[in-house]
Amino acid sequence: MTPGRLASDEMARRLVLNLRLPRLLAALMLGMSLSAAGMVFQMLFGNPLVEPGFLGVSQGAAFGASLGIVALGGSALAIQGLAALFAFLGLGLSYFLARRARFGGWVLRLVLAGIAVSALFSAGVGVLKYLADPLRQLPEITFWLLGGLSSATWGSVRAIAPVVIAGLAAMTAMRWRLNVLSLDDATAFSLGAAPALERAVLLTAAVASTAAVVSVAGMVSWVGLIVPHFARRVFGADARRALPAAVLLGGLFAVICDDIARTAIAGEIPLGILTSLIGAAFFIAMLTSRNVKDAK
Amino acid sequence: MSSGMDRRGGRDILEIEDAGFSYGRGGIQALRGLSASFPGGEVSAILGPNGAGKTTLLHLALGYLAPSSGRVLFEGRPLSEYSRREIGRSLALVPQSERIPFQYSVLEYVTLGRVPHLAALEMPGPDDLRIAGEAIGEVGLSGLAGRDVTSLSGGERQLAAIARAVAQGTEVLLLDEPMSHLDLSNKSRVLGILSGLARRGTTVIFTTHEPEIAAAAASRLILMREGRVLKSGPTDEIMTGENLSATYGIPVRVAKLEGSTVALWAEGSRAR
Repeated sequence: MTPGRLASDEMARRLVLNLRLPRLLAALMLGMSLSAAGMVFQMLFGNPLVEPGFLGVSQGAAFGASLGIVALGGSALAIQGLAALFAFLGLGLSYFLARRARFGGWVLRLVLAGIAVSALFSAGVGVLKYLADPLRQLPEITFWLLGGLSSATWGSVRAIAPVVIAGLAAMTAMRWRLNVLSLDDATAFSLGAAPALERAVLLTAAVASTAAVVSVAGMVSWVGLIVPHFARRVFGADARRALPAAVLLGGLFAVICDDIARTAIAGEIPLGILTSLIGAAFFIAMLTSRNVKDAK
Repeated sequence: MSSGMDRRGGRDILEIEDAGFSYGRGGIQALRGLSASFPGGEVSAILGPNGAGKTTLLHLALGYLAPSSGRVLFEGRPLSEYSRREIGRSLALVPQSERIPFQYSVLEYVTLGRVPHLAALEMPGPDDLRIAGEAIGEVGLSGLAGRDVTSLSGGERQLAAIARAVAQGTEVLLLDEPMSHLDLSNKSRVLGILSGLARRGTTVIFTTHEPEIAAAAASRLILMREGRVLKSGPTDEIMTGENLSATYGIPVRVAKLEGSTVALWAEGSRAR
């Protein structure tokens, strides 16, 4: 499509402005948010294997969206609103459970609590799938769980943009502090940080932007795990460079994947399948490459 | 004598008064009625067996842990009244073995010492990088500034952690078992760095379970056992066979050998 055609052809203009552009922006926000949140999660937990879906966030969102489809008729507002709400509920529950747990260090307790809460919501999704109308609602749940941006509109872009931009701004602004917070608690304290408070602020920013994009795109896995690794590998571990790099690479990765999802075959490939496929292949290649020397 | 030492003149910079501490509700009481004071500009060693509460005492002195009874004073004021940033500018910690989850370069890692000197969202500037570079030079790691800190040897990592504390530029430096994993040459390097810092007026406080290290490095000695201070004072007076025997619960003799203090304890080995 040429700019000339865009100017003369009303239909083409509408297509680009009303369908492609919001979808492109949604893909960009999706990739940026998941990658930034992934970097923040990995650094806060000092663990390169966690991702934004960790701590019950993803399964919470999945449960919320399924509930919106089954119980509230599946309007975009119901699905997105409930997905975001339950994403936060997942985090809150994990956090509460971790505080109540009576053994292990803080990180271990959070990990275990996240696993337990995720399992709980995943069972809930199973129940909802069982209850769903197999012709109308079940395909919608399945499609949501596989992730995709075909439902992205200007309305959804406008709805999530403020949260995404605020979350990304907060994470980017605090990126040097992230280095400090990745160290032991006592060390971070001795460097003048307020580990508990700063971690809470960063976690909120990461979860809020993740919940926002997930509410529109469904479950798009692996972006938040793989992109931060790649950014660190290329640009070094210091989040001063690695975080902005992850944001840009993540945006690019999601836009490219979404383009492939849209155009590779006549129908649409669910985006989550594509990111998992490419992400996992990439991860395997990275694991077996010779200069792997990640955290011991 | 340096001006730093004259200025402080052995006045107590850090005082712990009748402090108790236990981990968790109804947990083990790590410290009970512990009192200790640390004169400014001197090197103090906290010596005791494993599990005596040395690390807990260090965390209390940092303000990281709050005593459940008693209080901790820094320059005459309760530590709890200081802001996080004030603490970061006044007291630096070198933990026993630090988990470094990502592959920061030595320079990036040492630059983190500048955090308490910057505003909440400020990034380090040229001055901070210069100070970090000087600190790296001071511990003798200049050639490794660009290296990945997780790829360093144990001794080099310890030196990098000390460099970060030096870059922090604090009045008090707290070190948890700074020499326990080091070979002889690295021990002597760390010893030299610590006494150099003390000569410039820094108050150095470190824990150790080795009497020889305490005797070689510290002018002040605090003997700990089961969460209590047994004895404290000038190292020469406190480091006696009788005191060490009480600290470790086994017969220990103290001898001078070519100017160094050695603790003799292994009677069983005479059978050889």
